[in-house]
Amino acid sequence: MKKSLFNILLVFPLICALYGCEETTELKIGKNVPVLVVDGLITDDAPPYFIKLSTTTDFNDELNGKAVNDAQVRLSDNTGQEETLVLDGEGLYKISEINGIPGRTYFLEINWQGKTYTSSDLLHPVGDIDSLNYRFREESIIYDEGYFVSYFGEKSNPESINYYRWIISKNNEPQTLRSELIVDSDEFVNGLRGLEFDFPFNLNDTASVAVYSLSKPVFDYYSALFLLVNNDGGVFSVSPENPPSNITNGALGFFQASSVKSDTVIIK
Amino acid sequence: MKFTRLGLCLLLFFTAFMTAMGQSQRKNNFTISGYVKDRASGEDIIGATIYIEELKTGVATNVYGFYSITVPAGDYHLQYSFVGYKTRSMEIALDKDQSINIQLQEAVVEMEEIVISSERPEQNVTEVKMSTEKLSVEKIKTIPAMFGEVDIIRSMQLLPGVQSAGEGTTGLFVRGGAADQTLIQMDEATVYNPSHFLGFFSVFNPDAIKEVELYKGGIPARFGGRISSIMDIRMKEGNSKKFAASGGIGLISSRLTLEGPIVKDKSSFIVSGRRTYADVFSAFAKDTSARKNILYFYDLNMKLNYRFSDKDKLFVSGYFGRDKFKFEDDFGLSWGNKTGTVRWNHLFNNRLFLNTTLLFSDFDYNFDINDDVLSFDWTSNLREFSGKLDFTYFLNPNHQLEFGYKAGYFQFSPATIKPVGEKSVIDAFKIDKKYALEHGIFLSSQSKFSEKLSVEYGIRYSLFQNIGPATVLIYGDEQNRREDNIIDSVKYSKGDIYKTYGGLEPRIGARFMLNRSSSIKASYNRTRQYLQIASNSTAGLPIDRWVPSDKYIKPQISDQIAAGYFRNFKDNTYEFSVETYYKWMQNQIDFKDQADILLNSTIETELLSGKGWSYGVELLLKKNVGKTTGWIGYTWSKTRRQIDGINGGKAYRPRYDRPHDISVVVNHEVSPRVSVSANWVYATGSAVSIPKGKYAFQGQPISYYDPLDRNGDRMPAYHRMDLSITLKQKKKLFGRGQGEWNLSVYNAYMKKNPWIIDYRNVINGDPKIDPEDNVTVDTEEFKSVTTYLLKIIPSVSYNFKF
Repeated sequence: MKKSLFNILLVFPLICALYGCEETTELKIGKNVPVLVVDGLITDDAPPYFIKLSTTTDFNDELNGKAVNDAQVRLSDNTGQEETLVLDGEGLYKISEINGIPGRTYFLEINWQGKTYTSSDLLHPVGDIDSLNYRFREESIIYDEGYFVSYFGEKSNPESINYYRWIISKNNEPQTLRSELIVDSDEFVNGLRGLEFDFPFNLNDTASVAVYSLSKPVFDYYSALFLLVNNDGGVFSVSPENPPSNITNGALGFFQASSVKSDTVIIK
Repeated sequence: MKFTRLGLCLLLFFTAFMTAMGQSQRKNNFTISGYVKDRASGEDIIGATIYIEELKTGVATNVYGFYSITVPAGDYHLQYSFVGYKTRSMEIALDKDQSINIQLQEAVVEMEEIVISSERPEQNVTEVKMSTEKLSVEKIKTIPAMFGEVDIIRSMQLLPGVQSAGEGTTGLFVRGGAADQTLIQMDEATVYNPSHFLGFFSVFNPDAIKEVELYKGGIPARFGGRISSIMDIRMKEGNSKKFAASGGIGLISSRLTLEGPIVKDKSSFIVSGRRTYADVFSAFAKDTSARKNILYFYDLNMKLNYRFSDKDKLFVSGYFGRDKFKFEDDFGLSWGNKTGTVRWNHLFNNRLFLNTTLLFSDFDYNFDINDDVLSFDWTSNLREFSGKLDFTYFLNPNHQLEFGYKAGYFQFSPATIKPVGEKSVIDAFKIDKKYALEHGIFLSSQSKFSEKLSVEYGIRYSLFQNIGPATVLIYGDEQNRREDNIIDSVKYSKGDIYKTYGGLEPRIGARFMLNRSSSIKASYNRTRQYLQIASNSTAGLPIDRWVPSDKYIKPQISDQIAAGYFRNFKDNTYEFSVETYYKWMQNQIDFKDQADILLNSTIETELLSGKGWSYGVELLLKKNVGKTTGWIGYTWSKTRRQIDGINGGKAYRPRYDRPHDISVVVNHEVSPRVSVSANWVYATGSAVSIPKGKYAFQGQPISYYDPLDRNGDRMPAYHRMDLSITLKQKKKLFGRGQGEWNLSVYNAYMKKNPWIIDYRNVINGDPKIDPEDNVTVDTEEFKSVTTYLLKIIPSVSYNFKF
């Protein structure tokens, strides 16, 4: 819920921005030393899972990041399983033996260009999805016109504060633009009953929702990432910073272990 | 409560001591005292000077228009003068105590001819006070204004040493201090959030304001509570001679002020209101549904005074202002300030003046969402109840004493959230209220050691107490506070004092006359601050959360030294000053970057603290009299902060560190009916972080920042010129009133000043294309996008007075 509040607060600078004008400008920035970027995910869904490695590129470079294909990547868990990952595609290291199981902690170790980067994450269980619902909304200052899906589900653990990420898909295409980074905690709600996603569907669309459990560090990472990609650099924003990674040695990105559940509804 | 009693005892002691001293001094000395007023309106004049030619000595009226001077018996020529007023002279034979109330007449047009008749230099050279800027509302009204809305805070930003965080912000960043380190008070009551419409306008209705004074350094001991600066705003008292009405119709707001005597020369009132036209901005919206939205603000100022006798005067004043936003039925936000002041001026005798004040301030915001299962109502407020006693004792012309005591009670309700409707899934949530007391006791003295050397020295002792009911959390490791590290909590019941901070705040200033028209001055002051805005951005949203010092938040302390050279030219037509300062700030607070601030009940877990420092040079050349008036100001300054946990522990620039800052303000009276004004500002771009690279993460491009170079880059330099012309109508309005037109142009040469720069995917080279729009994507590039605001704003307003 905090995120949705935040969304609304963001409207204010935007209103002001409406009365200005926008232009793209060239940034005069020199070369930068490439920094390792990790995008790792293991879930309790069916394998395979991948650890994606890349580096930063210069701001004016054509490519947004460059794949890393020469790293040694090892994954282990707290029960003693261990696996050396094999490169399978540009910058993609495939996990083929270890499965994600709720309650276990997973350890990642990357050796690249003489430096070792490590990380770990606890795989939390995730609550069931009871149902998905939808309703039509007319266009307003906050919403576009369309069908909006709401989520009815159980808390992952009714005794504690839990963290979630939702990924919505429209006709099997995941929607992961910056405004659709939906992460939240259940700290301020008495249940996940009727949370509405701010994404308009059309009639006859297939709407799917996947829910991922997050650990607190990964939730914090996503929250910071959300702040960063929505940071307008204005006086109302915090100074932009790289989101706090759960990987050591200055790497960017993170390693996430999640339970995942999903459901689908067709808008009729 | 012990300290309240202690304070009172000390005060009684001072009073007794002073009275005794006064009596022993008496012999052949007599006192001249009284009030100086404006002849037309009966308003008290603050800072008018009373000069005795034979003795080459004088005093100025205090903030209530009162003066007192004690000199040996004799025949004297007295001069009463004030900038913009005709000087009045009189002869007296002083052989007993005398009460002289004087009315000064405003010098209307040919001010050039009223060259200050006395030979002595103007106050700015002779007074000990430095680092202080005073602007009358009349002066502020001549400065071209954005949307034609005369803005007091924006005008103060044109003075050296005062920086703005960016276009459309009303925060005052004074000598390296943050916006919440400036105390803004109206008739002595704190205004916690002086902004309207997200900071594009300030809450002070110019029609209700008499005068503004900003203390950037050398802060007198009577002020406390903020470490950086004090902005002291005085409301008008209301015309005590005749009934008057004035007002204006502008592009975005209208104003109306009514004032007049209740009992002539004894009692008067003023009521002044301003309201924006609902939804000026949204009326331009392309989207028709947006036109239904509510968007307005208003201000209402009221003041009443009653003069029981020459010895007793009572003032009651209040301010109410509010912003209201409502977007269809989906959500609403409103915030506002209320202040109240009850003031009683009492003269014990012609040399001992007491001002007793009761103050009330309230700042609140309210936020409601009407969105089916997510419907809720969120409220927050901060209240202050204070009382103070301020004595002024006029010992002799060379010695004046001020002493007093202030006590304040604070109540913080950071957030209360209530679900709305039966379907709402929102949990009721509340952050515990906090309560605190703040006390300040001070003594300050002005001594004239010789013709050349005058010294003002004072001391303030401030004390802050957190009081119950409260629950204080105990962390396993106090230095590394985390929510999962809470090992215990301690409960305190109502009235228990659970944390106390306090300390001395010495203040000293000296002036040394080099010759008749120039002087050097120096000052040192220490200030302490116990309340702050919890924020990790530069300009807060209107929903500021104020937090008190407590077990984990140490009070902020600042030490400032300043030195300056002051010189007047051409019979005081020109005033020149150069000042330099250095300021050290301790316990500066910042928050972790991703900190959740508004709804956090363990805010200490997000807190980081460190130190700050700032130094600079300020030059000011001013012309106050003549047909052409105005000033040129230049500031060079440097501000840094160093906080462990931010920027890898390395010192960094706050956003408002802008080394070069120039402002030129000119007003010229072309004819009695026509005057033109112009101002030009230039400032180094704000300190910001620019990405050093980029990477892809889950398919999205993300900008990469150097983790050890926060705010290491700069926005492009900012400059802008504004123009205005005021035409007085020849014809009397309805036979007796006076009307005038004001045309102004903000950003006259249409400089495209970047307001924000952000980094994102740009589709087909057009930053306005939303990735969610249904467009054919030909190119998609990660670019920097600059938003420009307020390219040129012409506006017109009509003002009248009867």
